[in-house]
Amino acid sequence: MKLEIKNLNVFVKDKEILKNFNLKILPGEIHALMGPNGTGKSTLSKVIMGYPDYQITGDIKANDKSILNLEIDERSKLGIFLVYQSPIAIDGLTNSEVIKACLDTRENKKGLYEFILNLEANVSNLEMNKEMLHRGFNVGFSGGERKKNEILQVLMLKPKFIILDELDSGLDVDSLKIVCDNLNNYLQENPDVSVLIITHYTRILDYIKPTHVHKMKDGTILETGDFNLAKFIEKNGYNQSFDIVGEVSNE
Amino acid sequence: MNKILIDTNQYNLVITKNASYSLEIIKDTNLYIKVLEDVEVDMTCLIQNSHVKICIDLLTNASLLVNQLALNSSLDLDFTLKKNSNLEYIASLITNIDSINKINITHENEFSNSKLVVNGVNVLNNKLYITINGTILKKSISSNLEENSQIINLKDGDSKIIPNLFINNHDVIANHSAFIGNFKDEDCYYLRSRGLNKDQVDNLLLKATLLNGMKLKYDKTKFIYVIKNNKWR
Repeated sequence: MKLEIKNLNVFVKDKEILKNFNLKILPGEIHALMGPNGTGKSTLSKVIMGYPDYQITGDIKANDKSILNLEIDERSKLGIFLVYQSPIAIDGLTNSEVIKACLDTRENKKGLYEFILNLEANVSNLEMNKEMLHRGFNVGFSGGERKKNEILQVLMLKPKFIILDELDSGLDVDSLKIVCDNLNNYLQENPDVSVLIITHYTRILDYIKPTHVHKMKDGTILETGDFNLAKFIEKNGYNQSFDIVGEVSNE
Repeated sequence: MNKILIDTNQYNLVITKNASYSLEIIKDTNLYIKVLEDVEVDMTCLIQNSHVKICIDLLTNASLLVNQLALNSSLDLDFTLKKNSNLEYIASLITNIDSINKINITHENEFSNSKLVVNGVNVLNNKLYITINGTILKKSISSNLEENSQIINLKDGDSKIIPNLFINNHDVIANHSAFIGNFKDEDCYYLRSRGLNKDQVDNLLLKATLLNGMKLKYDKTKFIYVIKNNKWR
């Protein structure tokens, strides 16, 4: 999916969070957005997803069509998927029940037998305990298990544009590798799927190689480069400028 | 498992040995249940369109787990706990008519434990009142009483929770919590971000609220069927 953000300004209660934000992600591209805490990265992910309570000017287009007037669920059905930093838990609904309900709203709806086979295969690939499927949704799950559960939904719902909001937080080294291996397999099988990785660290970028890296501060993108920019940021922090600009740009 | 359909005005049940019961109440009734000494009981109870008065006595060392779903009903419950008895009562109420509910728990003797979870869903602009009176008498040393209740208002219904604790002993643990409000925005947005529209999210969260905390070894399918197949709105 192609996603284009043009001159985006986002306010929360008169406070400007994103300032004249521009970003173009083409099908198959993997962009990493790095920035210090409170710079608006998670706000950006929620604005793309369609959360209310933000005042917005500018535009967000998916495959050249504005999505600003679409509800959250309509954006999801277009193929936009947000992997949450802190996924919620809901008691009284089983994990498999939630995934089945979400899948049933989509065009690629599966029959029950095929759904179960597919679900169990993905659970096995993610090295999750099968019993988790029948427990309350994320209830009693560790932080890492919740993240795996998010990726399980990716594999089941097959989105076209994935936002990974700090996927690496709460995941141990082994689990991060498992999760990223599964995501990479999915991206290989679906080469038009594009990804926006929001992260503080390069650890995840060692597994999912970005085509573009952006440094974000105070609600806007300051610099764009390749993986070298990420390594520079990790070594020098966000306050120093990266003077070796890569060949790619965000325009 | 013992299945009992209660369609009379009065029903008495004395439970003398460990057992499971599935009760279904479809008429205004007075129900009296006594669980004898050292007996463990697992009970589900489905109540529909009725005003029900239930008195339950737990004798020494008795243990009772109740999972109850009440639809468009009003409940008047009295639990009495003797020495070393245990009560776990998980009730869900959903109504689109006025529903006035009163639950009394009395710990009469020492080392008795009760845990109540009451989840209500007020569908329309009707009343849903839940009064819970927890009483621990003076001789009930080392007893525990826990009450947790919530009402989800789907519209602008008149909902009230009145939790009372009457404690007459220093060496006990007693607490309560109460919440009245809507579904959490965070839960709604999360599910909508997975492609579910507002009605689909409400239906899922309604079911989640009503099954929240239930420990159903059987009758789960029946409960889900009843929740799904009633047109609440």
